[in-house]
Amino acid sequence: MSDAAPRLNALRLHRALDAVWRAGPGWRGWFASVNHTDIGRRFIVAAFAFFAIGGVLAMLIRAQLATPRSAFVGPEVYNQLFTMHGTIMMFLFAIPLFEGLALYMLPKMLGSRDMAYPRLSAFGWWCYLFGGSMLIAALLAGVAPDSGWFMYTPLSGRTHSPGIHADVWLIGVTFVEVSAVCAAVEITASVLKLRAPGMSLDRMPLFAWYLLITAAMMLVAFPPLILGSILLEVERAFGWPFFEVARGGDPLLWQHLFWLFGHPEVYIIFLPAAGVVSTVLPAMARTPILGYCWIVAAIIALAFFSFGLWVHHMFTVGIPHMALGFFSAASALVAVPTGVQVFAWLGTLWRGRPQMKLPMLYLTGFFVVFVMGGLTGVMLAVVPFNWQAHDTAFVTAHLHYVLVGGFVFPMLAAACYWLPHFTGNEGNRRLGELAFWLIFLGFHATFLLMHGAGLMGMRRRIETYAEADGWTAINLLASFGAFVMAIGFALFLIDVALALALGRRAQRDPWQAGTLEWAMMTPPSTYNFASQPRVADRAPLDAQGALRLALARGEGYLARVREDLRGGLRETLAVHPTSGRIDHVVVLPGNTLLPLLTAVAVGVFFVAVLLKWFWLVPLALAAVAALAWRWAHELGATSDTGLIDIGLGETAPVHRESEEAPGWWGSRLLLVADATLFISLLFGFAYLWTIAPNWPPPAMFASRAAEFGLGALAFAAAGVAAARACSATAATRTAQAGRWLLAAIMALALGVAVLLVASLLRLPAPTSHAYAACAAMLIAYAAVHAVIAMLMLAYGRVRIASGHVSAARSLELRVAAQWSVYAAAVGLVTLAALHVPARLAGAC
Amino acid sequence: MRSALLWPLAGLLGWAAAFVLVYALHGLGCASGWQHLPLGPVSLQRAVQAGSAAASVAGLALFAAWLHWRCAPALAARGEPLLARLTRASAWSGLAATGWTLFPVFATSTCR
Repeated sequence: MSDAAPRLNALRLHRALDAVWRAGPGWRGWFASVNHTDIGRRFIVAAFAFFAIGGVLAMLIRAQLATPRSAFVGPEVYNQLFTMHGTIMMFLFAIPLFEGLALYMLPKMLGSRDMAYPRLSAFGWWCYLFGGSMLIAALLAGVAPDSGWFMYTPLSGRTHSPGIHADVWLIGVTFVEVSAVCAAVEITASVLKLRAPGMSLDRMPLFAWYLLITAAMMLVAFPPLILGSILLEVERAFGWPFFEVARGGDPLLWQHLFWLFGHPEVYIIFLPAAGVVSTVLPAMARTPILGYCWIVAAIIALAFFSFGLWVHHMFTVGIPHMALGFFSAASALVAVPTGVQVFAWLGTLWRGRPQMKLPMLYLTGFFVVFVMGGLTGVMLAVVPFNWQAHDTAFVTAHLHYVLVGGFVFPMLAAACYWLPHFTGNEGNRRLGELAFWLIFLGFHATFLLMHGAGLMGMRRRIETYAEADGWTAINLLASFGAFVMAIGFALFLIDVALALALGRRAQRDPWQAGTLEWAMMTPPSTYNFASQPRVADRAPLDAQGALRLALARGEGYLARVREDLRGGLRETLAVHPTSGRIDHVVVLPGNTLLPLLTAVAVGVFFVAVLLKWFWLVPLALAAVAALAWRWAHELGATSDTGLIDIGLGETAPVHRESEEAPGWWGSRLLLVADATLFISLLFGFAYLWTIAPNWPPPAMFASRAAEFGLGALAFAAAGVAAARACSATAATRTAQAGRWLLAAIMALALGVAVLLVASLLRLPAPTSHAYAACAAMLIAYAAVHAVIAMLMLAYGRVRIASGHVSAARSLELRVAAQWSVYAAAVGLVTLAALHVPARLAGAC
Repeated sequence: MRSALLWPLAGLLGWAAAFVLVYALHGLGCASGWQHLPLGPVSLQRAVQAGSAAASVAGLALFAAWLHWRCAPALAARGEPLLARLTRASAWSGLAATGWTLFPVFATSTCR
């Protein structure tokens, strides 16, 4: 291994780096690529493709509603159309588009060469593609979901939705959510760790702040939906009654779980778009953003408040006035941090010299549409008005104003702003402006009128109406507007395609922006920066005029290619999360087919569940476990590297010899998401016990003190043993660490055995009552996590035996210990949830 | 220094905890019939709700003061001026949000 390779000139440096970072040749190279630029582009292209499909469905909906008593489609098809329109736009367009933009743009803005987990990016992309394709295939086959995009029970239950329509939604969307959770972990860890040296938090671009907070929100918001989908699928497949009133379930539990995800989701969609506004607007206004600190504070507040609003989607289900008051107040409150951002943007425009270029035109559209949507949102936060407008076309119009205004317009601004970056070419200004005006006017013609239709009493999701209802003219005009808007989107697409194929070469930094993504060639190279910059300002290109050339000449960090026995290494710097001081060098994995193969194995699992081929499920899970093992096994080293030269006279350790490697952060973040799912499950159990009718259950688990004690002892011992294994490694006693790992495996196995035996012997059948179903689900969760932890501990033993672990190289053991301690804690809580209520009920 | 990242969240986490506590007690009280149990001039449910809301506001006021005058200066002294400002903003906005979102405990019917 050569640590101090000689500095290369710019062209030789480019060739050497490109050879290491580019995708391999041919189809295999395409499938195996893990580079963030490739994966980000794929996400963006696929998201727009799904947007086009969702748009076609919207046109079909508007065609049906254009005239009264239309025979264009029947109610069965219409139900699938509006369900799939909502599902595609929310899950296959909005979230993946921002994920794609984040994957493509974040490393470039942060002065890094890639995201923290390139293989995870690729795995997420394949999961998204497969899950989305599953939903579209169901649409083509006529078995698409048809219960509305929020899948309310009991409508989506087995009784009212026979067949696989609802199963397709539950499984397809969960598959796509796997991708979203991967992206959330990836974005959070990358923003916190993979920045240019010197980029402290207060020098970070606002776009990165927005994405950091959005990703953190996703870690907590998506698990309740994933849990809800699992519970509903288990109810549909096996009859465990989580949502069925007669057996102790409650349909409102689904609504709580769904909207615990669903309302933050609105802000998860809005915040990245607001990040675009905060990036593009200062460039258009030719002045720095006003109120940087207040904007960051507003984003954090918005993230929190967005989790306190979910019940405002349930105002008409019969909730007491006091609870209505809590959520009505919280719903009004969320307007404050949103207002802070809007005023900061307006102030920036006021202070600057705005240029009405195409991105600015879309931002103007954003201001008009989003503020109008926000105002109708405040109207809907007022309970008496909400009761009147609930489930009418007014709500449909409001949500389109918020989502199209708050997401689509800023994202179109982003597309225009970064088109020269993506393609290296310029778009056609006249065509772009024509597209904007058609979209803007068509949008208002459709949805402004729809407010009126709602106030006149037109309900959502109805497939037809009578002439006597008086909605004919308003619907015809709305449909006309929708087609005008569609023509606008088509023109936008044509503009992009023309720019790509025939566009004039764009300048390097056409907007004179100061952020680092413009400090590279366009379209970008595979490695982003020939050398990494040291940052001393929020707008490094403004502060250091010659930065672009200096980086290309290799006058920054890591201006060389280090090699090991397998060839050149993909390296980028990691920094301390707050101060931006250099922490270590991350050696990233290269191109591999593992993400694709793992996504295929996960896909086989989901398809097996969908088609009820349960014999295939264990095989798919075994394949996932084997691939995960291989995934980890490909990394690591059998000797300590020590400090390496990073250029500019500085040295740093490599990530596997650092305390806070990206893997350590990723594991923690994934555990946050996982723990949220577990807490949501506990919430569901407590909610049903407190609120649902037909409780207490007719039969309960019979608790035994000795069994509780043995199980608790086993789980506690497992946690202690895993922690001791880490401390033994730190003290260079690896043989002793191996014995502690074995002890932890055995203790976890004993704990799980106690849980499983007790449940098999004395827990009532899970189909009998929601109590038993919840208890069985808790046990299943604990057992799955114990098995995962045991696999990780076994892997740790193998790594010790193969010489991959030392006092310096303890990252893998520390990650295994995190999961083992978590599994042990889950086991203890599950034991308590099983035994304590049973004993209390027995005492009563 | 990892913990420095958490201080800007502290005030708003306080709001979240208070909101969840009062809402959970509301559900528990209504399900248990506390609104039918008198406690002086009000029902047990009203007393629990008003008491928990008032205690939350008082506790968060003390917490916000501590964050503002103790924690934030310490962060600033460690070279984290942005985190110090965010900690202050989060502290006071968490307190204000708690007062605003919990005021219905004094103004609306409890379980109807």
